[in-house]
Amino acid sequence: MSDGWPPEAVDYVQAIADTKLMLSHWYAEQAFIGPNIQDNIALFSLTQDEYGQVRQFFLQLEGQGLDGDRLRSDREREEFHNAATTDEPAPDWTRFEVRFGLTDRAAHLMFDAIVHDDFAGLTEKMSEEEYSHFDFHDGWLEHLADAEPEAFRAALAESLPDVLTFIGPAAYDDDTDPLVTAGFTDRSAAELRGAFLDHLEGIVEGTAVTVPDPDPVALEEWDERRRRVAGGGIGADVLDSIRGTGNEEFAVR
Amino acid sequence: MSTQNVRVTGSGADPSQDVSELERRLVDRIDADVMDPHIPVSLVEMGMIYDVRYDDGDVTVDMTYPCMGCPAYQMIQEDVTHCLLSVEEVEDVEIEVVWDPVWSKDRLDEDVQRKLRESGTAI
Amino acid sequence: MTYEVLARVSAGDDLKHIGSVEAPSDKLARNYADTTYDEEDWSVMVLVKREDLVRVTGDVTEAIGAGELV
Repeated sequence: MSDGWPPEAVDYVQAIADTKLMLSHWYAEQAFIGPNIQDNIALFSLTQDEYGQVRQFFLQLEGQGLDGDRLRSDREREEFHNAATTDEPAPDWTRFEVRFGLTDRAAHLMFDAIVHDDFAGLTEKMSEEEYSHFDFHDGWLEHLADAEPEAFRAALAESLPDVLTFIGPAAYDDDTDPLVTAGFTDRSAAELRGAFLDHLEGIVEGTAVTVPDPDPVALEEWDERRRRVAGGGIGADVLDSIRGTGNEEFAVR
Repeated sequence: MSTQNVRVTGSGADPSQDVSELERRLVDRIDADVMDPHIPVSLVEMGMIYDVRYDDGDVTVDMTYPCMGCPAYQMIQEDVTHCLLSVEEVEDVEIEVVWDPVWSKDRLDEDVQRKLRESGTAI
Repeated sequence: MTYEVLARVSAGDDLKHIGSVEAPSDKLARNYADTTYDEEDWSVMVLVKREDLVRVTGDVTEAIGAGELV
């Protein structure tokens, strides 16, 4: 499609952008949680990719009338529509990879489904960059599922419902997903959930980990704007860090 | 990429539309003045400039980046704007960042690839 | 696990030992080697587990200690 965006599309793109903003934040903030120096270097590289993608998503949202300065630096905590998996830092490496690696994968499936002309080339470029993210994350996820099945299973039980809630309710199929019916995306939330779960099955294949039964996410409980079912969000200290409040005195005006 | 090739792949621009002498001069100016900050080749040689259009004092530059997360994203745009504003006929410069077509190393001609190799840069 | 990294820039060049990586799996070793040794656009890069090296002559442990294989 090439005409205006349907109203749900602005929320969809903001949720992807805010999730990537938080991924970028945690990849940098927790870069040294990776066990090897190559992991630390990789995470700084992923940070840069994510931030670059956020910048372009924000420009797209500005094109839809949102205030760019507000998006970038002048929002309150509840105005961030990031996936619930990205609210807080991960307590250990296994949970880091399960939370953020799987959220990165979900965000990719979601933006890759956008077929609006405004994203021509843009999402293709992002997908090119994401290749290195998945080479890295999938390598770790496969290894951790194999080497630490108990910890992996616990991390998955903790994070999977939030990742699926971010992707969307299972009730949104080709006939009912407003983004699909408006022609903004070409794959419904139900289809993206299926693709995500297939991918996850592939990661744990041959290990002692099984994928828990997915929660369909009740449509009536789902917050379409923030793509979650419960409240919550980033903490005040995280907001200060994103805004660079502590660095303001060093900024060149 | 030579200055002759700008607008060949410009997003939204009609490739058959002639590039004016002034527009060609503006591309030459970017080629001469704005280097990629990481490597010793110009933005034009890097194939990052997709189109330069002039309309009564207003210049629009369509450009792209090899990496979306380029740390010099803003600085490069300021360099392009600054260098074009030094041309007498130019009053205002608008930079449009575009991603279609996606940049690839195929946009570098052999001469530029040689320069990069000589500078120890693997592309 | 330690993996030795061998690579060549162009077809016909000698395959050279360029370094090593420590990684918990083959897949991560590939990722680490690819991102660590990215100074060239290698036409071929392969990994060999250090434990799979078959000694013909010389002391491999000593060679590693002398920095020849790292």
